[in-house]
Amino acid sequence: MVRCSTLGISWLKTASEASSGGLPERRAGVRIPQNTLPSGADSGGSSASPKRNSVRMRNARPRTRQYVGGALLALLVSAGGSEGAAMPRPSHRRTTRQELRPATGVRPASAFTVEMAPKVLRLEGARAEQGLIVTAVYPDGTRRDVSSAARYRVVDPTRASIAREGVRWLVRPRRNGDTHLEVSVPPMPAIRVRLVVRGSGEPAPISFRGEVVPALTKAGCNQGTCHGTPTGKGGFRLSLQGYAPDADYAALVREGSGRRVNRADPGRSLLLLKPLVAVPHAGGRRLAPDMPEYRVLSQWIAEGAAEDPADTPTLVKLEVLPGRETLSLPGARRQIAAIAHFSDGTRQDITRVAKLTSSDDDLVTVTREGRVEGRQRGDAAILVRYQHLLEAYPVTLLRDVPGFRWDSPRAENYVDRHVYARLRLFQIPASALCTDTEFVRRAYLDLLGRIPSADEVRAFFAGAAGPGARARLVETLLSRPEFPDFWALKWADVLRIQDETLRDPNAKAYHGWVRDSLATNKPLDQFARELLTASGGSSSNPPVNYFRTLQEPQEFAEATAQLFMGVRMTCARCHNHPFERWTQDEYYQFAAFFSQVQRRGAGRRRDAGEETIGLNEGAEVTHLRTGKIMQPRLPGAGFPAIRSGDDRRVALADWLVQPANPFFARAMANRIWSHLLGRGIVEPVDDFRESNPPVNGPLLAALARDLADHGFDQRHLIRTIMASRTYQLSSRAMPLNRDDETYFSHALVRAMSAEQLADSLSQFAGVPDTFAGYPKGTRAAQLAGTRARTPFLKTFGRPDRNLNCECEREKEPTLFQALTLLTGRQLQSKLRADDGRVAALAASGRAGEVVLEELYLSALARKPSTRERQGLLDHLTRATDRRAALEDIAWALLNSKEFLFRR
Amino acid sequence: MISIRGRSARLCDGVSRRDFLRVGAVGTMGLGLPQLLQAEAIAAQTARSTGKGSAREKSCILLFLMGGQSQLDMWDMKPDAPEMIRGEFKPISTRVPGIQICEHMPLLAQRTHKFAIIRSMAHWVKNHGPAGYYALSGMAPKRDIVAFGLNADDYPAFGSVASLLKPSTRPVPSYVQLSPSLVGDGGLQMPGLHGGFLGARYDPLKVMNDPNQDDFQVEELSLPEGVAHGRLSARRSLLKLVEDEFPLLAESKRVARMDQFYQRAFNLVTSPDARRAFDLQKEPLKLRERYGRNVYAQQLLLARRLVEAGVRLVTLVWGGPINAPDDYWDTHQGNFPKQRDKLIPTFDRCYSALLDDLEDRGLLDDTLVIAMGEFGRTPRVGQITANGGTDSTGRDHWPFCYSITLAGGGIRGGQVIGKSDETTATVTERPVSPEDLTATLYHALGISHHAEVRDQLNRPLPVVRGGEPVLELWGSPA
Repeated sequence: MVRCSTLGISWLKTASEASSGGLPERRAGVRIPQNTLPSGADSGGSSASPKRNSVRMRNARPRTRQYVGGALLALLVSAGGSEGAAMPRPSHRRTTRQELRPATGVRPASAFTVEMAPKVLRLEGARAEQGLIVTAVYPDGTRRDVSSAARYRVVDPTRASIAREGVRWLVRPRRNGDTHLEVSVPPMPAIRVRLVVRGSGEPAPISFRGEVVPALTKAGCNQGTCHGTPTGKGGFRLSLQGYAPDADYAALVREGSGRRVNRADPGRSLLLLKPLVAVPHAGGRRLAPDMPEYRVLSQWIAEGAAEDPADTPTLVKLEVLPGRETLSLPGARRQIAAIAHFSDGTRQDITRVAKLTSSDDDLVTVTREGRVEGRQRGDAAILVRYQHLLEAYPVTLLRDVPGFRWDSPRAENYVDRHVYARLRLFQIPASALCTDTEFVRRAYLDLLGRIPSADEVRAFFAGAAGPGARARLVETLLSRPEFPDFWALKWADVLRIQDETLRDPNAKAYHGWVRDSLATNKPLDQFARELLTASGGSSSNPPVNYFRTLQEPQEFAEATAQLFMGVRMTCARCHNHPFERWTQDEYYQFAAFFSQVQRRGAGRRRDAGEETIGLNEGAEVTHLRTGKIMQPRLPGAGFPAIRSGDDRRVALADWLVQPANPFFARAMANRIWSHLLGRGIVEPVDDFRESNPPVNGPLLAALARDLADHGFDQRHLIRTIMASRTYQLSSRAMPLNRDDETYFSHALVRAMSAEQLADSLSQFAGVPDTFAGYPKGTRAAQLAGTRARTPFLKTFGRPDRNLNCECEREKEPTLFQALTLLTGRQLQSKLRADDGRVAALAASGRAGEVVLEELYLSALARKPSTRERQGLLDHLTRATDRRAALEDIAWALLNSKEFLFRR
Repeated sequence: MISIRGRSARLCDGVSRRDFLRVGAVGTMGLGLPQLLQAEAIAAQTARSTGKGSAREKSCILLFLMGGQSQLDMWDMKPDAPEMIRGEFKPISTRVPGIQICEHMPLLAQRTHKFAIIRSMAHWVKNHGPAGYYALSGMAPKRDIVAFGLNADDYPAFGSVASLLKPSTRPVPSYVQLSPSLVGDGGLQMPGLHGGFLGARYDPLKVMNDPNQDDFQVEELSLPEGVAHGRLSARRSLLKLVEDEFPLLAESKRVARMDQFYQRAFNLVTSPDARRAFDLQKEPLKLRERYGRNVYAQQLLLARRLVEAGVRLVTLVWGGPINAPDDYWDTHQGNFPKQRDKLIPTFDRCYSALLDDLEDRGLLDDTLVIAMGEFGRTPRVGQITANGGTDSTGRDHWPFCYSITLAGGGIRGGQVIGKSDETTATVTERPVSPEDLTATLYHALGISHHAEVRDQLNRPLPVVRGGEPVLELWGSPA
């Protein structure tokens, strides 16, 4: 249950921490002093060759460790002299001395306090070790990692030893008992932390699950491209990232004709020979004899290659020390320590055993020993995977940007306040407000899915521009019938409303239900509940079609998680999710909510695709690997009370749509945000996970809260977002925000979708498309299913609706799109149509300038510039065929990026 | 073993810089440069360590023979088997001692030194759709059913992966499919030919017109009626006039990508390269006759032109909708006359012509040619495995043991790989799975069969799951 209670929601914690001022406030333009670190502050350099012989080192040390007075030590360090504490000197010392030299503006000596993590050092077991994390904390909240440079002394050295390995300081047990560790960072006085040694005299055999499998993970043996692939490699198969240690044990010890593990002659075990490439290994060299993973494997074999005893304490929690931090570039470094908590209450530092990865190597890297180094501004996470658990250590990296100035743009609402906070933190300026022309085109495309007509543009400008005009336009557009059409399309995509699986009349009925829900502004919680708990006939109760697009409980669960929780659970069907906390058990427990769903054909009407969704109470979901029947369990909320006869889905819906649910409101708010801003706060919108943190957690939390507080009224949220200055920022980038596509410093330029483009082209040309099976005048955005798809819509990325994923809609431009617009017969025939706009304008006898303006307003919502007017009038007057010349001009407008993109 | 240093050295040398430009030029943004480099580095490493294959740029012509050629009637004849198995045709000796093929392939019999025969292809899928998916993508289908259409989360076609990892360097599409408008069974599109989870931008350029017709042209590459080249260039100047008004749009990466495609599209439409590649009128009549004046032969000739112009992969589908069969390899009825009178002679002629033509132009070493179906045909005439319509004159689907041929791309001709039992019911030596074959194709193109691609959920997936290249194809004569 401990696992469950922290599942997938730690980003919430970080979000609220950040919003409550947990992050050090960083005022714009105020440079945080980089050089006020205490003398001997961390020098980094993870590439240093560590002196590993800790045993010799321990023995070589004086029994009573000398604590050298701060001032003297500082002097010694800065002079590059040798230290009295007989510390191993990493070879990179010289290269980093520069950083240690006192610079101008050094703070007074009293300017920081020393913090130690963990607060109590526990060494439990003969082979226990504990890495030391020491932080200098300045009054302004700035924190510097001084773990490597701090001075340590075990008060009673018969209890424990201390040694430096690479850049890490480690304490190890000697004899059971209690003592203290003294930590000092000159010139500050030393602090003491309690040091507890237990079990030092007891045997400590290598643990299969706790060490061997993690070693295979750390060495990469069981990754997806190697032996972790479902078919294995070279006849040797391991579970992906070690999610099934029992199967791995069998593979290692029982399979492979016993050659993988040779207890009689451990050195001849294939498990050791292969990764050393002592025998040919397609996977290349993975280990060296001096690597800890190698030592674990060889020691384990030497000890008899045993599985863990049944009473071995199990892992219940992972913790990463220290807490969340903001690191400043350049030189952003931090040593972390991963602590495993076991069911018997013991703890182990497993930094060296756990697999450590960065969510984004461009931003931050991490070494095998837990040395974190920042590279670029941004948010990332260090992921710690150990046994079946995964914990994320969030890292925010800042850099001073020369020339950055915050112009304090007006904040229209909370959206702006959160966006600005992020921009100021990262020192990214916000672009200017977009023009009215840009706004009107943007608002029509975003809300109605088409460009405004020339008349609509003129109406907007005629209706007294000025403050409030934009808000009034949004209000008008929200009440137009095209709004539910266009926004129903977004749901129809991800709900997989397609004719092939649903059949007539279901696709139309289902689409109609979605559209009506939007037209009546049905609250999103009610919308979700009606879908998830739908029962009855497919035409009488259209939301039951939710269960007709898919086959089995696992698929219902995956779809529900992806659509309404923003979680991609699919990976966990076959193995523990490789990037996320979801385990295979949790996957099947979630799927168990849908086990009772039963599809039945409804007698004679079956031909028409009529089906009924009902409940089969006895049906259960079994775990893929264990074959066990799984009971429904809510992610992070345990087993709900479900009586026999209850519809399990109701319990799920009850939990899901609560305002306080950690998934639902956020997932919904994120989708709405992404529809309007072109990028989710979590992106992809359905991929919330530790390794993919929101780019603005407080903003997402605030939007979710606002949505829930207003009864899940999505129009309210749309209105709020569109009223923000953030939404209304220009797409025109500035030198200091050009590279930002993440923090909403300017509007993202994005291509029109297939339907937006088709409907806008039709509207411009005055020639509607015709879609088989739909009345004349139907727009592409109104199509219910997928049967009437045209090659044009397909080319521009309309999905076939085979996935519950926004990603199925192609957003990347293609060569065929360019060819379609350049030479395609469809556009050509629209431009040439005798009853079209171009023909009418050519025949109107109106002056060239007037015609030009009409074309421009219709296509681009603006008037031609003087330069354009001159050039185009020139083309018009030189032409012998006026209509053809106008076709050419219209063609140029429609092929321009300004037309094709929403900016 | 590639050291880190070795890999980063690749980053700095000319090869990878060209790769980078190539990536930029075609906008294969789905793949990061590191991935691309990794794929190349691993492929180069495999080539180095095995001394087989080559890191030189390769192309591929994949002749997909829908329905599958009968192994017993063409490549793996069993003259000593009972009549209902060995069938009506007789084997003949060929240029390579010890290799016998069907008497109705006299031209290929003179060229057995140019191609290799794999007689031990095997899988378990008996329906066209899923078997075609398996054969063309290397991914085993989840179900073996007739109504097996394509899906957005399908494994990508070999050609789609190739156009992602090894895009064309010249202004032509990377992956072209020459086929009838609908390829597939039961009215559904045949999966395994499209971009699958890589997305539509990795779909092939489909050319569905008959190149044997005199008015053959590719619509996408030709100008619409009434828009001559002069008018297009006038339009292009007008477009420039409008676009110059907002140069800021060039600042957006997305717009820049679209612009790149516009430039390529203009080039394709206006530059002679692409049009010339598709212009069969440029071929001497004599050569066109040598291939044969029919749709498949002329498509094969077109494939050669395309490869010559820099297209990476041309997939030619010999077949159409299965439920409207005409003259292709799904011989449920009239197996012997259909093959004897039409299929085999047509194939014999055009396939030989292609091998000669590629060799004459010095293209054979860099062009892998593969002719294969999704399966073979039943050992026993009239045996029913999948289609109840099979009568006593037909052979039904048989995936458990069948033959395919490969040529060019540096592989050694004149060899037979694998063995079947006395009726070709099962493989007795060196089974080759669709996974192995797909790995072989990737290897031939210099793409590591361990390379990873990402699906829509950004899951890293191997380009082929579990196959190993058939490296003997490149081996020296035994």
